[in-house]
Amino acid sequence: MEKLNSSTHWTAESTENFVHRIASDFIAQLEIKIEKGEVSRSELAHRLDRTPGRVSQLLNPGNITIGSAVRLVRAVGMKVALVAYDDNDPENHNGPVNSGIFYRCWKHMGAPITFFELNHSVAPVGQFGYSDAAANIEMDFRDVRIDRNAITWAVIN
Amino acid sequence: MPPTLTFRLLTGCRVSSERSIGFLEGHSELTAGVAFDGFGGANARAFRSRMDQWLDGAHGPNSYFHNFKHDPEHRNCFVFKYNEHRLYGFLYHPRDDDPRFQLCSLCIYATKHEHNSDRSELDRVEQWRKSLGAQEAISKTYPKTKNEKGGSPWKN
Repeated sequence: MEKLNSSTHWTAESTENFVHRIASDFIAQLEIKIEKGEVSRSELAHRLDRTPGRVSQLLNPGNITIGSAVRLVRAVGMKVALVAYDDNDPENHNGPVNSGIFYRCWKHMGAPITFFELNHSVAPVGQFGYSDAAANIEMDFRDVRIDRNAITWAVIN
Repeated sequence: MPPTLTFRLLTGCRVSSERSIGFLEGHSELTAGVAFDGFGGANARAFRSRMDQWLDGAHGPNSYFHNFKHDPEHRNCFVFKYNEHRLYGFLYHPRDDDPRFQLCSLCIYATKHEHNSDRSELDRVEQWRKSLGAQEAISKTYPKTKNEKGGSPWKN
């Protein structure tokens, strides 16, 4: 694996690598909940009607399926989404965006559950020319780029 | 004569403007790089996933990686973990022009089955962290930019 072209991300090498990365990312979210004490491994095993050993196997990125992912998140009272996105990195130089980034952005936007809520939760921001009416206009966001080093926090707030 | 240490950056993982990972090498005790290169299949994927997670700026989970900030003697030490495999290193701020930039310099590979970290590994990492050879090796990748008086060489 060290023979990788240093300009490409290791997940560009194979689909298996990419799957492992996003599965590991997904499991990290559950591990953090377990470490925070929000649910214990034994309680998770009880809710899944599995042995703790079997739960440990489920928390292995190599064993994750969409079905097992759904069972795991439902057991901790959560939900899961599969998000396809275009980060302008078709050659995969950067690897997948951490799911925690999507989650925190969604929470930051007020955790909308419909597009109507999303449209109404977007704060009017003059710099981006957003208006409620404009929310109904299809936009090609590939043309919208925010400098990664720009300080956007104050604008969003 | 002390060994000449070398430092190489991890390739193929996330490129971050905030954090980086590399391997300190050049002594028989500095086994992290060799061990990492030797990982294949699930081990390689697991460690690269954990490294990406840290490079992304994530805080944990501790089962993936953690520091030892509550241990005064090893507060700069760091470990990436997968099953019984451990890659121990230390955290360092190598860039004078960006004091927040954080480097994880991995030093020692070990296997562990007990719950608590092996303090002897951490002691060894701490010795390497303090060594002049390590600082010199890292400074070849991250050259010091301050002048002798400690000021920035860049003039407005």
